[in-house]
Amino acid sequence: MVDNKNNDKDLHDYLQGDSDISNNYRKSNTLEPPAHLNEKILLAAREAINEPELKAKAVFHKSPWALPVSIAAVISLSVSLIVTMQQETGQPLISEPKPALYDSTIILEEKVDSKPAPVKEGLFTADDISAQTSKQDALQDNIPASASLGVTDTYHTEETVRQLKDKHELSSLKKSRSNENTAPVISNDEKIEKRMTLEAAPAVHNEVLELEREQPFTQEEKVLLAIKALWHAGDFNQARQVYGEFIKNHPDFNLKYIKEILGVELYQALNE
Amino acid sequence: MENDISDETLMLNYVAGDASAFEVLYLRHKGPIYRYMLKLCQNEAIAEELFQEVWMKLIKARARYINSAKFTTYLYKLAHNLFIDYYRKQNVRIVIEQGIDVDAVEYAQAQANEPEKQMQMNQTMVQLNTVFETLPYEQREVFLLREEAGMGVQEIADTLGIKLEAAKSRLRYAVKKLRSGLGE
Repeated sequence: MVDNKNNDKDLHDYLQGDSDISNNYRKSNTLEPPAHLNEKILLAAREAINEPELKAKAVFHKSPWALPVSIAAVISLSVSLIVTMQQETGQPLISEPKPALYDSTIILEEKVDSKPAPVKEGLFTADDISAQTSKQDALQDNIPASASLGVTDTYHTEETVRQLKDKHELSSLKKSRSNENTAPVISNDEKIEKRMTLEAAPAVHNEVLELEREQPFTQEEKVLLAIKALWHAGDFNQARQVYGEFIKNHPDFNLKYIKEILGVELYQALNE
Repeated sequence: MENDISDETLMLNYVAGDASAFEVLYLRHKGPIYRYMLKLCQNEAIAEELFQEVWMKLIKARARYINSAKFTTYLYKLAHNLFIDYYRKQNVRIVIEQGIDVDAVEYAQAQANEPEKQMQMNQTMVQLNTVFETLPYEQREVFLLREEAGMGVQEIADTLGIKLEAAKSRLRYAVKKLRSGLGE
C-alpha cells in the first residue's frame, strides 16, 4: 500500500517534467540522423508533390465539373440500360396503344320464339359476353359455353369488351352446307337482345394471347388472325381474299396449324 | 514564424502541395524520431532503415492524413508499427532472463565503452543509459514517447493502442528502475 503510494508519487513527480531522470536523459541523448538520410527524405517529399497522378486527382476533386459530369454519366447509363432491356424483351417497356385490327360491332340477335341455330364452336365464348337481356336463358341455350377464337380456347372478352355499342348489324347468318357463301350462324333476325362491341377486342385479344404464349406472333400467324377477325366482322369476301393470298404466298404452311388458328369451321368455310 | 505554425497545419499544407511545410515538420521531428528508433532497435543500421521508412510512409500516405488526430500521435504510431512489424518479420528472439534483455546489455556496454561518449557524459548519465538499455522494450518505448515526443500518458496510450492504466503502469516501472539504477 505504501509502496504503491510512493510509486504514484514518483510517477507524478517524474511527469512534472523537471526530474533528474528527464534532465540527465536529455543531456545524454542528442544524436541526430545522418545528413544523407535528411537529403534523401526531403528530396522524396518534394518529388511526391510533383507526381502527375496526384496532380490529376487534385484537379478532379477541385473541378467544378465533377458533379455535373457524374450526373450526366448516371443518366446516360440509365437510358442505355432501359433501351437494352427493351430490346432483350422484345416489348416496349412503355407500351404503346395498339391499333385495332378492325372496328366493328358484333350484334347478336335472337329469335325469342324460335330456337336459333346453334353457334358453332370456334367463334366466341358465351361466358365472355355481358348480357343485358331478359332472354338470357335462351341465349345461354343457343350459345355454346365455350368456343375458341384464336390459338387458345378462351376468348378474353372480359378483358376486351368495354361497352356495348351499336355500330353494325349482323343481319343474318345461316349455316349452310351448300356452295353458297356460308358462314356459321351466330344470330337470327329477331330483336337485338344484346350487342357487343369488339372495337379493339381482336387486337387486345391478340396481345393477351401473345403474353400467354410468352412470345410474339409471327407475321403469318398475325395474318391468319386478321382473316379470322375479318370473318367475324362479317367481311367474308375480304376474309376469303386475304386467305387466298395467304395460301398462294405460303403454299407449304402447315395446314394443321392453319386449322388450329382459324378453327375448323372457319377453315372449312374458307376452303369451300 | 514557422515555429508558430502547428504540426497539423504544416502537414495539411504539405498535403495541399507545399513542400516547404514538410521541411519544417521534418526538421522539427527528425531528431526525436531517430533517437526513438535507435533506442528501441538498439542497432544503428536497423534504426536508420526504419527511420527512413517512417518518413517515406508519411510522404506516400499524406493524402490519407486526417486532421482528427494529433500529428505526433499519427507519426509515432507509424514508427511503432514499423518497429513491431520489422522485428516480427526478423523473428528476433529477445531473451529476457531475470528481467534483463541480453541484447540490450551488450548494446549498452558497447555504448559505454566508446571513449568519446564517455567524456561527454558524466557518471550519472552513463549509468542512466546503461540501466535504460536493460529495460524491456515496452517500458523503453513508453519512456521514449514521454521524453522524445513529449507525450502525456493518455497520448502514449492512444499511440500504442493500450489502456491508460497499462501505459501508466509501464511508465511507473520504467521510472522506478531508472531511479533505483541511479541509486535514488
